[in-house]
Amino acid sequence: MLKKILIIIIIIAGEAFSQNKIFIYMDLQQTDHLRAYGITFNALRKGLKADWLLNYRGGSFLIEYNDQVANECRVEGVAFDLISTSQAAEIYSTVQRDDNNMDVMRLEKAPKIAVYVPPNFNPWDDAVTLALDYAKIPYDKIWNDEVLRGDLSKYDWLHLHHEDFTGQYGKFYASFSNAQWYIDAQMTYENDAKKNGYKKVSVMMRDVATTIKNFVGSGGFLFAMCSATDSYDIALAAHNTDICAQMYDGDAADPDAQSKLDFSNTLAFQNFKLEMNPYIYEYSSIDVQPAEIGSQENDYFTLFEFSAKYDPVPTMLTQDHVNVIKGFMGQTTMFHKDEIKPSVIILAERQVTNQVKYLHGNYGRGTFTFYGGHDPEDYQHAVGSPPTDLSLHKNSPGYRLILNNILFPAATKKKQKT
Amino acid sequence: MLKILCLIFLFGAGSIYCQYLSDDNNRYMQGQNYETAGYPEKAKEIFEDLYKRNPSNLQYFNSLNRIYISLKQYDLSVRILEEKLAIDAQNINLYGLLGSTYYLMGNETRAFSVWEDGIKNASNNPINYKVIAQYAIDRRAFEKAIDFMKRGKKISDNPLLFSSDLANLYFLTMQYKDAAEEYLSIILRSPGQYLLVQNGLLSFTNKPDALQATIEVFEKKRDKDNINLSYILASLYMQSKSYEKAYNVYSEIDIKSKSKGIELFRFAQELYNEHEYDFAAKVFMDIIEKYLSSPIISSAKLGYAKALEENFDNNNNTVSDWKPFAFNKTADPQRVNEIINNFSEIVKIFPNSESAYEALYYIGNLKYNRLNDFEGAKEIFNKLITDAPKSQFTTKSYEELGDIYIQEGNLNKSKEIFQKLIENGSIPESEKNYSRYKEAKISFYEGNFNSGRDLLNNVIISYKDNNSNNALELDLLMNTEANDSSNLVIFANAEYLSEQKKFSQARDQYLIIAQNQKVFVLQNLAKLRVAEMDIAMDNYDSSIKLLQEIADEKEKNIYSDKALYLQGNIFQYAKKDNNKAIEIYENLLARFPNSIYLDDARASINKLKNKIS
Repeated sequence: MLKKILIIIIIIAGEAFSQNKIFIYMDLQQTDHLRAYGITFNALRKGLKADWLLNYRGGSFLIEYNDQVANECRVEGVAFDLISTSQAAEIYSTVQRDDNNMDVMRLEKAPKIAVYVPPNFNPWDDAVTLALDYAKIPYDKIWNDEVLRGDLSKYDWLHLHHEDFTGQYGKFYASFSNAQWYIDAQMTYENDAKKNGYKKVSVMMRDVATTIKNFVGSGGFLFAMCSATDSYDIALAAHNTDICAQMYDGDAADPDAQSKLDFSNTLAFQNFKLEMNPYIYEYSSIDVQPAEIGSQENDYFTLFEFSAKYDPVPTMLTQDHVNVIKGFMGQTTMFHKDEIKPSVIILAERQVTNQVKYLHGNYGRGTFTFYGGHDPEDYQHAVGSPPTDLSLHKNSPGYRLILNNILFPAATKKKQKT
Repeated sequence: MLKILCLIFLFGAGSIYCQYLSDDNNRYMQGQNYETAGYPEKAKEIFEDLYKRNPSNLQYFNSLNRIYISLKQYDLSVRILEEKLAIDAQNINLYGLLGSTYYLMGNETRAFSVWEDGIKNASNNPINYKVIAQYAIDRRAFEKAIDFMKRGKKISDNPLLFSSDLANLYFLTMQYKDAAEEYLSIILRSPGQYLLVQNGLLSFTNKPDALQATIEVFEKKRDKDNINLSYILASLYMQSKSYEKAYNVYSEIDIKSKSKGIELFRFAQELYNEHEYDFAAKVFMDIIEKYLSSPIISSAKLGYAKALEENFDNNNNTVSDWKPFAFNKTADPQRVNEIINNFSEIVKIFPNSESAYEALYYIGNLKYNRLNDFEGAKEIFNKLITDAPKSQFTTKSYEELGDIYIQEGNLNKSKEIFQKLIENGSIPESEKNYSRYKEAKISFYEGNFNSGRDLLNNVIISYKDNNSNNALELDLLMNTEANDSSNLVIFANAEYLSEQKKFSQARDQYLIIAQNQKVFVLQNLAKLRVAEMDIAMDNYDSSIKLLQEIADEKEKNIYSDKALYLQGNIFQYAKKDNNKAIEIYENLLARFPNSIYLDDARASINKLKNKIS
């Protein structure tokens, strides 16, 4: 009898020890790539340790076993395997072999996330908010008041909503100046500027941009999409001049604004030419025009492959289950390569063109990542377009790039290999 | 000779003067071109020259001032404006422009004082206030503009001239209560401005807190004699979903305008469109009771019956929808008959019309599905088929009839009906496929498996047809078990009994197969059916036990995931034990990661967890 009990105990113990890692594979077998990020993020919030297996099965996650996490995976529809320590050891050994372009990145602490959005925004107007909500990753919404009073120091990661930092209200004047949403938005900004002691929205936005830059400089992670990318750098470059026409800030733009741009003050772009016509829906020459892209059928961008062991950050940012991704437009769709600073790393581009989709750079102790386009699953997202239902795009490679940015600040910094 | 010389001189001088003028015009156009092409300095040079030579020309003056502003040379703008004012001190626009320049310079105090000076020149002229307010609006100094407008309104004989502008300014500055007050003053003084007020209010009543503030303003000045005011108040109540209050106002409007129920009818239609069936029925009934001779009485009756039917469906549909098999959803006969009577009245009022056929179809349906009155339903459907062979409700009536005959056990009659539909050249193929599927099912019940499969062949190949899945399932069953026809006959009989809602008898038949170890696929399905029959008869404990047995068979029973899912359903809907239901659904997710019930189980877990939290 005792013998039987012992055997049962050994079997149970064996079972328990043999299943002590949750392996979330991220290749084409994964059923819901986007929620997998949420599972990993929330496991970190619970204090569990996770490893990001760069370039291993699409950039998989290995999380220490926890009943709740396993159950969450099932409920959220995230495919995973329960693996033993010996199986895990085998994976680690494969990943760390010198002849494999793979590496392990330990994720330790979930970053504190802030999303910069105006109070009247609709969630579907911002792909990042959609992705965070879908993946069930918690975040705080902040706006100018919070930025200007120094609240950014409470956060590790900041996303800039589809935004115009130049104070030109998205340059929608020609098409939408009589639309109620435009009138409301302008009033909201003007009231906010007044509240914060500014006579002009453009001046307030310039100070907001500078505060955000300081946040990056002191170690923050910045992620911007669509028009928040170029309009942000334009606002920084225009800190000594007035680029807004009368309908935007009450007085005329400085006729010499172009020559007064200070490119040393920007993060990513240089030598661009401003679009000073207030009726043209474009900020500058940074953005790639639809005519340059051609037809939607040919609009694809390619992710660069980086050395996982030597360039872990760009590798993390480009983890995906495919490396050619369908393009998508936005107020700012892509960036002209010749207007990007040489220090910036290009993560994705349209091959055989000068069109860059995704870039990354360092400033001070922090980093910035810019991703062109508005919504990776809605080719031409227009004002008033319905929200994208991400439950229909669970495996979106374009959206994955956004979520890579959420997890990469959780990675433990390693010494650069030499 | 002298005369000729004089003429030549005059002609020459005129010609030079014209040339001079034409030259100025050309230069002015050149200046404008420089301005639009982005060379403001060159434009300035030209405008300065032109203005210097012709200071009384307003066009040159305005262009020069504009170019000074765009070049931010505000001092120069002030200089020419002050020069002009020295000559023309009564010109209100010059004060407006000068104030604007000071405002752009950032000197708000000076700007306001200049604007005030302009008004002082003719402070009894309300238009001056409006002109200066417009300059303030252009500079987006809205609070100052409100101040000017308010003062202008005070001294004006026609305050309405200011109300609309003031309302807009209050709206822009999010002072919704004040905006509503202005609109109210418009409708009180000028009821004909109803549309302007209505549109103005609509532009902001969707903002947070604005609707309630507006309602309070309009309620305070309620004047039952002002119908337009009442219309606005009623629409505000509709927006805030205060239907009872809206109803009271519409009733008053109806009486006041002697509309004989038309106003109330519109209101009821609006409620119906908003899916507020309960309230819509109440209003339709009110019209029927109060305005028997009104021209809209027939429409009101139809509206009433439809609202009742919709409301009835909403309240009765979800109770047993989760069950794989269930008895007909019978309901309080008195209530159902009340609805039937209303439809019957429509049949009488509009004989031989599509509305009457629609009403007949509703009656038949209610008799069949809610009262279990098969004979009554058959009579109605037969009447519809005979009276209106081309109505859009005829095919549906045939199908209902076919189903009734199956329930009554008259398979031949049912087959005959479905065959008629298959042979009917005027109905769409999808409807025919439905009839083919039903006829195949009848063949299956009768044990004629070969003819059943023949009928299904047509349906299966129609991939886009909704019936093709059901057809495939039935075909698979008949194919797989074709070699064991005696057991298949028993199973088919059990299926027939279950369709007839004879669940107890069906359970006995299923049990025979379930206990037979030799019929593998049929046995698995029969076991599940036994549990489903128990669910239909509310024998939940017995079904839970059976379902657990099936689930424990794991991969040996292809229905083990469905068994777990049904168990979760029982705990969720019948036993109302949400924690247990979640536990079972989670168990399903863990044990059957490829089950087709995963999405439903996940949705249930999320729904129940939200409920619990």
